[in-house]
Amino acid sequence: MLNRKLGIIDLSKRKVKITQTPDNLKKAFLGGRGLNIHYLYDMVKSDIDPLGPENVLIFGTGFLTGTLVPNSSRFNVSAKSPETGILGDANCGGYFAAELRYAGFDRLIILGKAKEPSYLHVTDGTIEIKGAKEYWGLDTTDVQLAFKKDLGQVEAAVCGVAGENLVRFACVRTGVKNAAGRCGLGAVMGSKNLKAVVTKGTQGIEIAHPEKMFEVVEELKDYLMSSKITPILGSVGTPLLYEVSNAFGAIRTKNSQLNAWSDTLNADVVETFVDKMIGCSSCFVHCRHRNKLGGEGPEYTALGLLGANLGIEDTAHVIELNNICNELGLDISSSGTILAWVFELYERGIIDKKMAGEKLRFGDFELAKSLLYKISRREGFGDILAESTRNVERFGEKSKDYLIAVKGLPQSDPHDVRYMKAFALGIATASRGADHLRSRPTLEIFFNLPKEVRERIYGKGVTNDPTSYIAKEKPVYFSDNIFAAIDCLGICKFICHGFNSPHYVDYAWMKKLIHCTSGWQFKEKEIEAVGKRVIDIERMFNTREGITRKDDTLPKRYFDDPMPLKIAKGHHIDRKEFDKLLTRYYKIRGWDKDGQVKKERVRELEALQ
Amino acid sequence: MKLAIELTKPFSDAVGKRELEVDFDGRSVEELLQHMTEKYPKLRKEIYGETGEVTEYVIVFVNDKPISALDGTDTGLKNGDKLLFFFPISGG
Ligand code: SF4
Repeated sequence: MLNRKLGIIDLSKRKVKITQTPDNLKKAFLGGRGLNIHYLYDMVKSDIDPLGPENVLIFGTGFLTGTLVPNSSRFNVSAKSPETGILGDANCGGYFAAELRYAGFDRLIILGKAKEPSYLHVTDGTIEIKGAKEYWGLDTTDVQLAFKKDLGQVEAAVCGVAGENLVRFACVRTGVKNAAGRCGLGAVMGSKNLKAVVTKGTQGIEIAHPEKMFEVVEELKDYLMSSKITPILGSVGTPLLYEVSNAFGAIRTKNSQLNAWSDTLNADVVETFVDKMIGCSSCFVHCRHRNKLGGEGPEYTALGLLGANLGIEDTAHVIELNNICNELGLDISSSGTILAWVFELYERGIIDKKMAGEKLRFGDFELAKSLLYKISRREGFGDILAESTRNVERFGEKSKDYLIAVKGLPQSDPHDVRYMKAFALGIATASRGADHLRSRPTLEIFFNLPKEVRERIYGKGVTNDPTSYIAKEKPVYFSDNIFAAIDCLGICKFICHGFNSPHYVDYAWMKKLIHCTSGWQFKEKEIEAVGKRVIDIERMFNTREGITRKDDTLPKRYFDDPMPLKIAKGHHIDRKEFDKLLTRYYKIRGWDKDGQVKKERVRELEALQ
Repeated sequence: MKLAIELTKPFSDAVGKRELEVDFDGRSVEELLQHMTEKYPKLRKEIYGETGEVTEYVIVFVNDKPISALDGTDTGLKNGDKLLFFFPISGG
């Protein structure tokens, strides 16, 4: 359990060093996202080009990854983001992370740039840098199949053509659809001439208390299965959310000019395209679809951002766009947001045919499809779009008014946050930019949660009204901390307390799981402290890159344009109330008025480095 | 009074429709839930837990607010109100 190694690979010098993360650091950060930000803060200088050889790319498994613990399939990929210029970090499922641990490694830190296309071959205790000329140019599934053909039953994390071509929102992919999707980390792979990390291991993970482990895991499974959400996730998956958000009037539509779209993308229509439900390693929820059009998905994100947001109604078309993004290695959230943005800019005359090379419009599947291919190959207008939100400079200041992004990161999920104020604060303050997976306080929509349960989880004074600003810093603070902790452990957020249900894995369960796997005795408060530490260091990383209070904001449209349709009609974010809410969030987090980690805390955390 | 009710999964599956026009002479959401579960018995297990309490897996909106922000199941209803039933779920 605790003897997995840290591999440091310098691609420029073709040198590999195998070492180990000291136990005191594991105790402070556990693993996954936590240890990744520890190393990133230590090793990345603030003025570097994210696509230059000085950037540091980290693949880090969670503390519990690859064990019997339910849904312990996760790893985090981290680097300075080429899309935003701040923290780049993305969490991913599949089978790769468990395999990396079976090969003897917790974490790989990749430095420099290879002279020619390369891949890392990680097998029981060894890491080799190998040539990847014959794999360069292949799509994400094809390259993984090629590795399996050449090297046997390996698992691989790869970049697609988009990553090779340095598209600033290229993702890292493993399996058909699992993605470390956000922040352009696939482009960081491409910039290092690194096509893949390929691994195969035969080493088991020693468990400190195996019998106790069986017992706790059985108990946990029963507990998780007692929630009604588990079987629904396992039979319908996240597409159910599309129907919910749409009925409510909270689905980003046509670049958030509208907030509701067609029923043709509802879960029961998606179901007609489902071949079967599948899962990641150690998962018993199985929330993902294999579709009949030759890919996996769509998730809620794809339905919303490649469907409603682009004005596309036909489910088969949305699934095809989803499959194309997956094969090219493009992040679906950024792809759907950037395309919708330029479609609206074209409608408004902010960009013209001369720049775009053709007429841009919503609802045109063939146009969207051809633009995705062009982006991935940086052809024509695709070369411009591949620069993502940086295009504000090219398109002009006015274009920013229509951009649905925070800190340069296009919003991750299709949820229009103007109605739910806690959701809005969450995307404004998330450490990697506009993102729901950092802190979405889903229990906000558990409107029937008894008051005492709500107060036990979030603290006193949080109202039952999602449109109220009162005490909404508390659900965001709670969620931020616990999601950071679960990312350090390598467990899927779908079974994290507060993400989908109040009955999922909370600090008490985490404590038991840490103990039976490693023998370490953590108190619940100490696990929460790991999450807080991670968030503070992520903020310190961003501060170094120039992030201040003015960046913790929302797209202009969320403030100034009331939602036009359905239940959410008329709701928007009030600037003054939002500002007060932000101040309260900083206060509860212990940051100063400008949203910076206080000096004494910085000293305390830097002493760990 | 006439109420317009929109249902999403799994409530729509239990009723067999996504939209209902309900003619109802009760007063509150609680009475409406009783009325609906009598008319559509399959809805019962989606709305009530084993102890007969309304489960936490149903969210009911009356116009633009969830009943939790109003008076819970005691929330009063009036002619022309629009209601939405949905299941709380999150994801990416
Ligand atoms: S719940 Fe879904 S995303 Fe999470 S581990 Fe299971 S299959 Fe993967």
